[in-house]
Amino acid sequence: MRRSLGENFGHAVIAAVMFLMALMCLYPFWHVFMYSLSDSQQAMGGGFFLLPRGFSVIQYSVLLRTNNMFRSFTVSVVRVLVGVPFNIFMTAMLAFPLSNRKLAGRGAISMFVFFTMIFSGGLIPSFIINKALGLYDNPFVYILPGAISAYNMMVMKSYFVSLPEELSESAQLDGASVFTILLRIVLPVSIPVIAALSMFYGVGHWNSWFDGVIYIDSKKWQLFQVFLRGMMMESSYQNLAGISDISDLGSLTEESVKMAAISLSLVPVLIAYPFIQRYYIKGLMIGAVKG
Amino acid sequence: MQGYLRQSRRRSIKKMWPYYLMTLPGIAYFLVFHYAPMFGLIIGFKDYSIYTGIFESDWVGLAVFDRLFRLAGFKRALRNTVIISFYKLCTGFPASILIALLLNELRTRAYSKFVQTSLIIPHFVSWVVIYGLLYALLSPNIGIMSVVYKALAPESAVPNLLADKGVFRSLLVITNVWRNAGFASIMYTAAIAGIDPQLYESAQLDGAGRFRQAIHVTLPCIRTTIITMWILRLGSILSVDFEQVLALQNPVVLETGDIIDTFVYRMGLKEAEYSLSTAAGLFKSAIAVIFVVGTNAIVKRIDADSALM
Repeated sequence: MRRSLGENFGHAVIAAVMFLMALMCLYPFWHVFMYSLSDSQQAMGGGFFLLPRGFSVIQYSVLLRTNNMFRSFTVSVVRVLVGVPFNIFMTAMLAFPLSNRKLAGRGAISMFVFFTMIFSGGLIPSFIINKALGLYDNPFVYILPGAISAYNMMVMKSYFVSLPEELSESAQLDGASVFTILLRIVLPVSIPVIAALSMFYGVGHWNSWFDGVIYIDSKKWQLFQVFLRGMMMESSYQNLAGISDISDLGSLTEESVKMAAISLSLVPVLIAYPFIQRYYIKGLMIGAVKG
Repeated sequence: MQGYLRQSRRRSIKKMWPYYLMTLPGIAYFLVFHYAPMFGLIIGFKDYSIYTGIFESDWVGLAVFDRLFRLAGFKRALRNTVIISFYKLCTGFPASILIALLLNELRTRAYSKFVQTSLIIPHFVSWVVIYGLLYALLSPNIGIMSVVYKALAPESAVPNLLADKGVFRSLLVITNVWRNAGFASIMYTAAIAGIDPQLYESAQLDGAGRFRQAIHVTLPCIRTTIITMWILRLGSILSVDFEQVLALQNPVVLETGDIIDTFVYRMGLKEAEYSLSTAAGLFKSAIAVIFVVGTNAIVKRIDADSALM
């Protein structure tokens, strides 16, 4: 296929524009990371950070010795590790029966779930209910109120519907219980959708912070994102209160510590990114098939 | 015949009981965490206090709403919400379509993959982290702005763009596009990938260049996806991404940046105005339903295939 000069020129412009856009998306992360590796004093002037100015990791060692940082990081990781399997379990328990065409009333139950997607009680009534349930300052508030996402449930349901019916029917004839069929037969062949939904739920858990702000009072259950927010909002030294010897901070600036904290928060996202990229997009496609 | 049907139906329900049993935890979840709060909306019509509780509080009819609509703070929040939402709609929505169209023009697969990956990454970081990135780039002492100002206007002080009510909305709009447009374009990219290549070939034979192919082939082919996204988007017309605004907000920018959600949060949880903030939340939810159902009905008239419900 021959291309005209104009088309080639147009393509070159588009390619260049897209490169700039990609750069704009990546640079802020790079900037923060390079700043966090720079020597505090040399970094002071600001400007672009293509490479670290000087080199120092004191800010990281200060950060890692902070009690709150380590504890909140653990809380967030545990939230993801406990929350995601629970999400998947609860979602599958509802999606599986609803994918069965013989279930009378499945349309009504689906409607009952779908309605929560377009209408909700909102912040204050939810807060009052959750508080009445004893979820205030209780780490279960991270897991229970978001146990099932209606959208994710629909995605899983449409995946189950696409599986051949004989799969569960033959097992049923063998006398297997519904729960066994779900656990032993249906879930093992549903790895793609489980992986995708795990990513949806996992990213949500890791990034959420608002529930940590309004429901959790004690530092013991503080989320990493909430710790990070506190650190960004106030002077970082207030958050560093738990540290043993403050004397060796020397010329360290709070900006350096902040940049180190942001960089650290990106580590789990970076580690998970190849999986996220792969399964998240696939999941979106499964969802899009039957919107 | 009918008796037989009823009987077989009853029999099938009997046989299906383990399935019904299995739905119970899920149904209980939605009842407790979604429907109970909906029921809790009645406190918007009551004089609720934490001491009397939802049931014992006195009914006051529409008095709370009356007070709400007279409140300058609410009017301000409503105005800001509509303005910010409109700006976002005009930028984010076309941006995601444009990105998909541009990605489609890239000839090397590896390159378009690289660009797409880069544009999606911001979607996976929280608004707290994005505030951190903004702080790094814009704060007067360490940001890029300080260098720019030193070069262009050495005498003037470096402005703090993070606490400037004049630029707060722009900040919301830009970060919204930055974080979400690439991600939202995935849907369109997928729709574009499904277009029959023959359509392009015949357009080419008719002498259409790349630009006209994009306008006359690609766009009409992804119309359904665009409309679906549009309906979903309109449903959240009064949801201006609460977490974004809260993460980026500070007291200085409230005048231009206080939205209904942050108003509800401040009034409800900080000042314990439960009934008032619930009423504000109900107002927002009701508008959302009207927009979704309304847009859907209009779309159904014009193009039944694209409607959601």
